[in-house]
Amino acid sequence: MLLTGGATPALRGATGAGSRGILGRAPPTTRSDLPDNRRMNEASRRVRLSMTQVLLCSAAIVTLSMGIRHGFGLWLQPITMDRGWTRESFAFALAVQNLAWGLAGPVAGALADRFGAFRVILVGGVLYALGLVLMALATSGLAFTGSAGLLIGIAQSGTTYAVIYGVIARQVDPARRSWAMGVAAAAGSFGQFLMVPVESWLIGYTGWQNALFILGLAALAILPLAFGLKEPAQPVAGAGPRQGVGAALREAFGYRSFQLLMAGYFVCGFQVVFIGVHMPSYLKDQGMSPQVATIALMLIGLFNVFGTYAAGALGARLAKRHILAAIYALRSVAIVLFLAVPLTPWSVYLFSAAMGLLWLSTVPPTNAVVAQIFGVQHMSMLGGFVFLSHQVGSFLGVWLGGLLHDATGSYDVVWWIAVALGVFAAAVNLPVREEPIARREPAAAAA
Amino acid sequence: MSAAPGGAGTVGPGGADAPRPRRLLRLALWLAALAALAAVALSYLNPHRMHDLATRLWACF
Repeated sequence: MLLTGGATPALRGATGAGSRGILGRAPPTTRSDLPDNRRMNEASRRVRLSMTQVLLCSAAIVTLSMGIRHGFGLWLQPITMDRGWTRESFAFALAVQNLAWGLAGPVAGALADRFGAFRVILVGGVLYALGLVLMALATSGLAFTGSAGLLIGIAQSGTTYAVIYGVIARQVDPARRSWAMGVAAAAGSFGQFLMVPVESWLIGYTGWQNALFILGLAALAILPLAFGLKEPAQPVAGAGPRQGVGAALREAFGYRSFQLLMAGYFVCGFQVVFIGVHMPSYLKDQGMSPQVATIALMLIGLFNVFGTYAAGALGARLAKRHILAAIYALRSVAIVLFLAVPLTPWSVYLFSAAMGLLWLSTVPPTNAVVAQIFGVQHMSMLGGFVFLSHQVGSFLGVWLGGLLHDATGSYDVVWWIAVALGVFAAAVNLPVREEPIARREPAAAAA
Repeated sequence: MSAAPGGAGTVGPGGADAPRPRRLLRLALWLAALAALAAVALSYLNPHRMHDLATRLWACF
């Protein structure tokens, strides 16, 4: 017998009870569309949050959580000058933040799946605010690493995609899930786009310390928003057999498509963070002005919003593995063209716009496939593991970028590694099976 | 932002005239989103902000 975890296309349009509001009206459905399966019918009658509420609260939370940390580089100069620290101290704290975000992701996800996402988001919001305040007050490198690195990294794991997508996966019917994930990802992209000038303004007008205090207050806005994602308790009937955490992990890590998705997401992290961190340095090496780099930053942010939304919306119509393969392949094409043509401000702008479109556009389809294959019970935890793979790739993108630049005197080798990895990621996403995993009843009920 | 797949043009429980206000609201939401994006993009291009960002960005390298 197949257990689908509620992620089957057969449920499309069958969950209109939970899709209220202007954003969330489900398309009309005839009874013949419904599967001849009592569990699915019961699942389709679950009480759900309105989609408008889920989208608005998710979008606002992700805008804050992704946005606030995105401009942390702007604090490098004032903090290192004021505290007399080296750049390495600052960079180390941000590296720890990225690792903590990735490592805490599966734990935060498992806690969200078990105790409810809203509790995890609440704790994440408090830690975020606390981390920002302590970051402003830290007078030693260790305290700065603990606050800006560890605390904020853990806070991000509880307030970003893995946990939020768990709520979306459970509360939005499968036919609209990818689109809804695209909306949330676009909100996160907008947060990144928005907060760079806002934070620059805050530092300039209030000072770097007060800017962090103000952002701490902004992070507290996550708390009331979390209540909008407080999910109603699911009825026992209709929930289907429960699967334990161990069984879910064994199943996912033993499933080839999950391994392939993780491999693809690793490449995403490598490419995005390598370009994000090292491209300004590359442009500086090539004699470009800082204004060109700033406009490039703006274009990546702007087109990222469109790209993430489009990828989510397309995921409702096309096979997600094809979308992912196309994104990775196009990234490689964009990099090759960027390296092939003479470097001018306009080639930088075109490359930035293209990469912006492809920037976080992998996020909605990757997570939607995870929900589609494994169902929603352990969605946040599995999403956390996929994201951990992304963060390992991010770490290597930053580290190898610097290491190979110092060893060879240019970024050429790393650019070509990014191209090769893009081709690899496109190839590994093509054989991903998006259908719900086949489970035998006793195995699913075990543990 | 509200162009949900499958949701456009459907007649919900609100009656036959429901899609028209929903289309207007959808259009308004899209316009608001585009206006917000344009406003943020313009803030990057403000000469003072551009100088400030460029200085901070270059200070990282």
